[in-house]
Amino acid sequence: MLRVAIAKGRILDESKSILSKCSFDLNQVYHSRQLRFYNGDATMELILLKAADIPLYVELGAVDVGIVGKDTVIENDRSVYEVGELSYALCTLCLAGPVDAPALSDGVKVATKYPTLAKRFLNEKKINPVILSLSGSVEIAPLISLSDYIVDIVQTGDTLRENGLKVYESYLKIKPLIISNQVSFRTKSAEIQSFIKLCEEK
Amino acid sequence: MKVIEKKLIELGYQKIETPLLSDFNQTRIYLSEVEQKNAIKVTSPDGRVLNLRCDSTLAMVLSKTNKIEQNIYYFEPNYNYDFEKNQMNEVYQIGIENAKFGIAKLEQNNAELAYGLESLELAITLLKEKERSNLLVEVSNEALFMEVLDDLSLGEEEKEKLLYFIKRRNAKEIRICLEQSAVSINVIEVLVKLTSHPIQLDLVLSMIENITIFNKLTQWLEVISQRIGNDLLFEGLPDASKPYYSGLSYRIYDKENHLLSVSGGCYYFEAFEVAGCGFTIPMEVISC
Repeated sequence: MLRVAIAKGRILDESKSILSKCSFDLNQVYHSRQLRFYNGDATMELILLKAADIPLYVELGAVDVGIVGKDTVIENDRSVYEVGELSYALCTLCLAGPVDAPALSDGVKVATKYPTLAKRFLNEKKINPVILSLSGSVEIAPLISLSDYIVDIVQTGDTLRENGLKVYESYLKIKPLIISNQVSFRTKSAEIQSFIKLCEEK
Repeated sequence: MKVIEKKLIELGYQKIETPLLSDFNQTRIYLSEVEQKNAIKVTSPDGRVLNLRCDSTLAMVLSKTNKIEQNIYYFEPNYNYDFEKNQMNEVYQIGIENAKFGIAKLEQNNAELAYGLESLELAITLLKEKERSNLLVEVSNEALFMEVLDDLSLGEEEKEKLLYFIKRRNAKEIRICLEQSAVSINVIEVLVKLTSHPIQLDLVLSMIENITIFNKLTQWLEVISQRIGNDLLFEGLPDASKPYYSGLSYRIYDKENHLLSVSGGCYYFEAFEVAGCGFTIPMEVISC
């Protein structure tokens, strides 16, 4: 039996057709408070988890594969395989700041919930930033002079605009990745390959 | 544990005990800078810096006992550094080492491979003694595979990026990295397959035969195929890179219990001029 974890929220909402193709009872999955489900022929088990926890579950083999955003995978940096990618974009990782933000240079202060990605992004531009790692409401940081810029994920851009910020540069389209446990990747190879194929057909 | 120990004694293996604490000044010469920094250290009352037994301690023991060319085993914890996670791990395992051959034999690749395959066969035998029969065997030769990647003429940054995505088996990104190299589309296709998924040995051989950059790898795999057969997987670059593996490295997975049950290979510790081949079986496999 293949044990699959899906991140609750937008990814789960977008995964209806995958779950339907895997013969899960959608009514049960989407309208109950249960976190564990079996498909019709009991060949798959679905676990619903908070996105940030999925890489750990997968690394330790508590689940065989997980579907979670690329941002979460990179920030967690767990020993998992990135074996597939779903086609839809969840959002975009952007560099944003006030209209009068200073020019980008070494030592620029960047507030973010994604320190690894933000550092990688600015290092690729040959800039060595001071990363200020926050856990939420990053938009406020440049407005009260905590930082010069923010690196954050943007869906519609409404929150940025309402806080007087603008996008300076888009870095990465955040798509959901299919990640696999390293041992399951070998011992359940056939099941995992057909699951990937089915997901990517969407 | 008793089943495995009984079999090893029957085969003439000798149990050894390695020191829990090594003199750090002696140990450090075979540790990288990061390992030296992160080794767990204590200071003795007489002012000597000691570090907890690391997975290379065996090399020190072998360097002192090498003359006897003895096959040995140990059963004790090691403390090793996980480069990917940037932390020290305690690993409780049984280690089985075939130190019967010296440097001269190591230099002849086929002799080294023959000893390595002998230790692989022993690992399979021991797992079968523990009634594990649904096994998946995977072989690699990191040094040889890196030679293939070196031939791609990628820049340092591109190569680093490629290795990052190979570790994550991200086929899409691996392809993007390889497309920046000077090799043909056919070779790229083969490399994407070899680096993104372990493949059955006969399939690998049919994919790489007659492609020049794979010549050495082809010869090496043919020796394995003749000795062990084709019912095993080839993995381009293994997950946990062990810089001391000099040629063959292998892993055995228990398909029924979904466990990595054996990890081993041929090694050479330059600082001690110690060569051997061996493998470890983790505690969870021994106890279940």
